[in-house]
Amino acid sequence: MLQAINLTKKYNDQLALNKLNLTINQGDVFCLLGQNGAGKTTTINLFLGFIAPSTGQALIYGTSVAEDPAVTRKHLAYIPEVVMLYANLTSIENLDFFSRLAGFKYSRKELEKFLTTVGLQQEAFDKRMGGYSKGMRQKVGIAIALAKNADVLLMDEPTSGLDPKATNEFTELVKELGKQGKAIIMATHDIFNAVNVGTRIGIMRRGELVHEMSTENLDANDLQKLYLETI
Amino acid sequence: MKLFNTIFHFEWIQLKRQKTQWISLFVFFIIGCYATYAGHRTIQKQNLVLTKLQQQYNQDHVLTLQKFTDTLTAETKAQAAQAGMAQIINFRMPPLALDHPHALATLSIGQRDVNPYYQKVKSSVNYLDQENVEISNPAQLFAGNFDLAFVLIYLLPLLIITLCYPTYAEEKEQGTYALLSIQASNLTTILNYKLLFRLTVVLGLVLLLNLVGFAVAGQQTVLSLSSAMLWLWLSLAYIAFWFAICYFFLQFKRSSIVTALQLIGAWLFFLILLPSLTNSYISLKHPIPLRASLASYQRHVSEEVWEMKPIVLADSFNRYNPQYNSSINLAKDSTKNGERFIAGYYDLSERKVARFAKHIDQQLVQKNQMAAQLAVINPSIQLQYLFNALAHTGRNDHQNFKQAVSRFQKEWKHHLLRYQLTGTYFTPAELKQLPKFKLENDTNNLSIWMGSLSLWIGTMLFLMLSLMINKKN
Repeated sequence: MLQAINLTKKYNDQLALNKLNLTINQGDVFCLLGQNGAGKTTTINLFLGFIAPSTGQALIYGTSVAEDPAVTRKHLAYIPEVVMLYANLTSIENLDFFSRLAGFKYSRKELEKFLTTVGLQQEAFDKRMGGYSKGMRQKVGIAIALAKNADVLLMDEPTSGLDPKATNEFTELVKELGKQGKAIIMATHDIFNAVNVGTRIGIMRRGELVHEMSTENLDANDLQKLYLETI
Repeated sequence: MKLFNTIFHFEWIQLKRQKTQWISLFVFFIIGCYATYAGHRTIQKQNLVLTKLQQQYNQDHVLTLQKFTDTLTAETKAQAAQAGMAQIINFRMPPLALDHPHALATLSIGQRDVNPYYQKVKSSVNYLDQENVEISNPAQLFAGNFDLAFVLIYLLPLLIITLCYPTYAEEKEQGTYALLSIQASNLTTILNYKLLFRLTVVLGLVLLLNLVGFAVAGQQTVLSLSSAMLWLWLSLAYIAFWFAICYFFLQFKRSSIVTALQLIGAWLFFLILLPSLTNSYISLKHPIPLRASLASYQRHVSEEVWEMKPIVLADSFNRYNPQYNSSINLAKDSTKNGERFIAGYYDLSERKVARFAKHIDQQLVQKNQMAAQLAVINPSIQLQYLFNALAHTGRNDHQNFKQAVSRFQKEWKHHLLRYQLTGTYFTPAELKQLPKFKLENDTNNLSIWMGSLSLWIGTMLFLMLSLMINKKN
């Protein structure tokens, strides 16, 4: 589904990502760990097509992102670290707008269901998003990703700013999506959550994927130890 | 079409909820309405003056007719005997040359407020009359009125700029750009539709404002549908031009502040800098000729001709006016202050001064021609020319009025001379059939349609440059 072949990104002389080779299949929830500047966001941005690789390829269903971003983006949904939406529109309207852009026209009931699924309080549905907290915006962002019904989800620290209850709900949601056969890449700093939600973990350092492992039989404490040794 | 509807639907929702946008649109509308009212007041005042002049002329006509029959006293009896004398008629009821305003003059006053729009025509011409003196700063006075044309030409681009400058940058600055580009297959199309929505808002507002303008303009004079359509067409062309400029600068995808500054720069360039440069160039190339030399020459000619021998002056008159040869009377014509001497004096003086004045007029014509030619390179100034041409308030229209007055003055002079030289008097019946001034406007709508091409060429140029930059990116 997702494949990185010698994927490299340089900013002048600065190596942001160095020869990343990675394959993520249906049902995989791949959590990327690493310090700031390790290359997690660069990896996600390369798959999103926001930046072009210096060398190598990012493929989605065998199609090169750099060559045909319009095709590959149809398979993608994205949840950034800070979801920013139109402040003058309500959450329902934002969700409706972005869903329509993706080619889906949902009824009010269906839109409400998406928002309920991500845990947004019903009384907030018709309030303008200008007054929303970061966590509330994050939930609407997740709802937009769900409503797109994409096969691939790219998430850049999606739980940042969410309260523990919301983080837990989100974790369950991601697990469920993985079970539904979605391929998910999630950049995170939350080691315990990564073990909980991920099927595979990758630890990055200075643009390189140093470790890659399955979460089966992986203990959070062992992972933390390995992480601290790696960085 | 689905995407188009989606963008328009949500842009409309967002617009509805943005108070500042509504305030700016409302303020612009109020300014436009006030400008229309200001134009209406100016033209209404001119119409009032023209009506009063006509009433006064009619009264003079009645009084002149009364003079024919008033024989109560010896004095009035003597006056009645001379009531039909050509010189008396010329003094008592000089005909009026009136330049009635076109309906659209309310919306584009042009130079109508500074140029004479009426004249009492006499049998002789004084080249130093106010009516015959050119205003010395026509370019500066060209857009000096706060009328609807001013609002459309100068203020509308500012409204377009405030609506358009953040079209691309706001998505990045508010953080929605990434999500937009992932959700939609063609981000450029979305942003173009957003710009198109703003264009629709501006079109709607300008249409509304123009309709208000037409309603007001139509109160005083009948406004033809073709003139109204042409006005709308010109407004549309200008809006398209400024949207093309906005589209061009948006292609650089700079921050909203930088884009706003670039667009304000474009506004300053087209509306302040370029007109100033072209005006300076025109003034250098064709300086305004001084009328002082004409005044001195006219005095000199007047004295010179007056000192001529009556028979020489009569000869000169007869040569240029053979139609009056039947009234030649050598005995009378050789005396000073005879009819032929007076007619010859004015005829020769006018011809001599006219030759001198023609040179000055030619310089002004050349200056005006150059100004009109240079206006083509600046859509903003070109639009002012076209609005004025449509409203018959421009320089050419004034020139046309002056020429018509000049032709009529000759007609009036010869009409009087026929009586004056033969010693016959007007009868009351003949006074009802005096020559009347007629003004035919030489501006045709086709030339205005053609003139609007320069606006569309400017639009196409900026769109093509935009596409080139887009491809490059």
